[in-house]
This record gives sequence, structure tokens and C-alpha cells, in this order.
Amino acid sequence: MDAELDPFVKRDPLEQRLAALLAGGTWLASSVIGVGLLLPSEAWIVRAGIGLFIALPIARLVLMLLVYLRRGDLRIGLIAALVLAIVLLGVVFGIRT
Amino acid sequence: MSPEGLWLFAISLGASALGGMLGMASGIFIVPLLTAFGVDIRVAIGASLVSVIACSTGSAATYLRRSLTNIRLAVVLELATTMGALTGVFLAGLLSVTILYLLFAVILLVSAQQMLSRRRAPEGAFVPEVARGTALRLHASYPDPDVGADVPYTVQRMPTGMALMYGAGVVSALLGIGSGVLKVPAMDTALRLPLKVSSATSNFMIGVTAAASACVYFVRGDIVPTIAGPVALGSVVGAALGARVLLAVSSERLRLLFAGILVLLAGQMLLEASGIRLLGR
Repeated sequence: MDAELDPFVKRDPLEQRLAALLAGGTWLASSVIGVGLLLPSEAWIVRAGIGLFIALPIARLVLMLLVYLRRGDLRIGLIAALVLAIVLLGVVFGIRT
Repeated sequence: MSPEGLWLFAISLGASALGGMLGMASGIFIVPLLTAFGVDIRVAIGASLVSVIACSTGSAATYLRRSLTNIRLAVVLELATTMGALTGVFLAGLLSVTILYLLFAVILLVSAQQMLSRRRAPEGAFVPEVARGTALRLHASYPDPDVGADVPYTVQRMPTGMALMYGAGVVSALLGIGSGVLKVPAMDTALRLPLKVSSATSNFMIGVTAAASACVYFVRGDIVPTIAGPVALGSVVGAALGARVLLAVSSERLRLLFAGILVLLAGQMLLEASGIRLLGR
């Protein structure tokens, strides 16, 4: 059976890239928060670490979107773009209220 | 770190380590614990959302490396969970604190009941013609060490699954939890995924779902760094520790203990809903 037509998706190298992104991001954001907590006078550092954590799932959506588009997997790419749009809509909505 | 920060760090570490032992998210414990110590429930919900994201991103990496996560299915379901999350943010502004406490108590009781009834592997996991899932290539296979080979599975009843996921998104944003309570039935009974795949995929989705609502709370300035910071860090460390002691304690006893704690916390939330505080201010 042609790999493109096989409906059962096998292991995808994208999984390993996502794992690396999420693991690296978790370490980075945790370290930033840790440093910030040791320096209570610098409140912005903890805030930045929290921002990093919130940005991490969004970064993995962007990575998935780019990889799917580059592969020409347009249906799932469009869905990833829609999810991203919904999340960003929330940010705009949050800023305006 | 301030003494208050140390306390928050320790509480979150403990809750998250206990949760990690059963492979469950600690989000459901964070809000009741914080409110018991006098933190405002809305501040507690914001802090809990950050810790939900932190725990999910950490453990999602582990599941991805073992190829258990169905990332294509996750993105499709995230359409429903993120829309639910925005709805939840909107609703959170309308509902009174009393209603939030009551809702939380209900979710705690449902979780306790779920903890006591064992999850069964879905039956009839292989159905060849499932049109919606096929068009998007959502069916997949996962490596099963018991079989020693990749096991293929299909994804079924997407519309029901999407509806339940929307509900999970609403509850997540409203109460600051990962909503495993709603995701587990959606994954097991509607989509009929193998248990390992459903845990991994649900965990992967929680990050984006919680980020959708956390973004709004964050840009509005509703997330208080002096509380959310120590809670997030404690949760990450606790989850990593909890996953390591997974096999050290009998899981049947842990289940009972957890169900008991959930019922106690539900009682506490009901008391707070009626304006009675046992601890703190």
C-alpha cells in the first residue's frame, strides 16, 4: 500500500521535534521562574517565566502548522491554523476587555 | 523566596507528586488547596491554569518520545477545546464566586466517582470504515510492549467526541483545571481509543486548551506572579518526582485515598460556597 494512502499514520519524526521543544521549553520556563523567585525584587522575571509557559503550547501549534504546510498536508494544516486563530482571538479579546 | 511563596511551592509540590503517582493532573487539587489557605478563588484559578500547562508540557514530552500521542487527532479535538476555553473565560465573568465553588464541588465528586470505577478498555477498537477519521488520516498505531508490535486503532464517533471536548474546554477555563473528568469519557466511550493513547493524547491537548484561557487571564493581568510562580514551579518538580515513585505504592490504596481526598475537598468547596472558612482568613 502506498504510504500516502495508508490511513494508519505510523511514527512521525514530528513527534520527536515536539518532544524536544516541550521538554526544552519546560526547563527554560521553570529555570526563569526559579531565578525570579530567588530575586523577589525583580517581579518581572517570574512574570516572564509564566509568559514562557503559556507561550509554549502556542509555539508547538506553530511548529505543527509549519511542518504540515511544508508537507502539503493541507487539511490538517488548515485545522492547526484555525486552532491558532482561536487562541490569538482570545488574546485580542483579553487585551480589549 | 518569601515565606508565603515557600508555602505555595511546598503545597503544589505535594499535590502534584501525589497526582503524578496515579498519572493524573494535579490541577483539581490546586484550586481547593489555595482557597483553603485564603487565596481568592479567581486568583487560584489563574495560578492553577499555569501549573496545568507546566505539568502538561513536561509529561507530554515523555509520551511523545514513546510514540503514544496521536498528534493529528489532538489538533482536531483542540478546535473544540479551545473554543470551549474561550466560552469558559466569557462565562467566568458572568458567574458569581458561589456558583464557581458549587461547580467545583460537583466536578470533585464526579472525579472521585471516576477514580473508584476502573477504566475499562474500549471494546471493538477496530472498525475499518470510519469516514471522518479517514479523510483526516486520524487513525494510527502505537507501540505496545505487551504485544511487542505496533497496534493499529481507528478513531470513532468524532462528533460526540468533539461535543464532549468542547464541554471539557469550558470547564477547564472556568475552574482552572485540565478537565480529565470530561476528557476521559470522551476518549474512552466516544472515540474508543486505546487507554495509553487516550492518556497521552489528552495530556498533549491540555497544554493548548489551558493556554487559550490562560492567555486571556495573563494579558488582563489576572494571573498574580507571586502566587502563580511558586505554584507552577512546585507542580513541575512534584510531577517529576511523582512519576518516579509510580510503582512504589499499591495503586488500589492510592485510588481509595485519592477518592477520599476528593470528597473532602468537595465538602470544603461546598462550605466555602456557603461562606464558611475552616482555614486561613
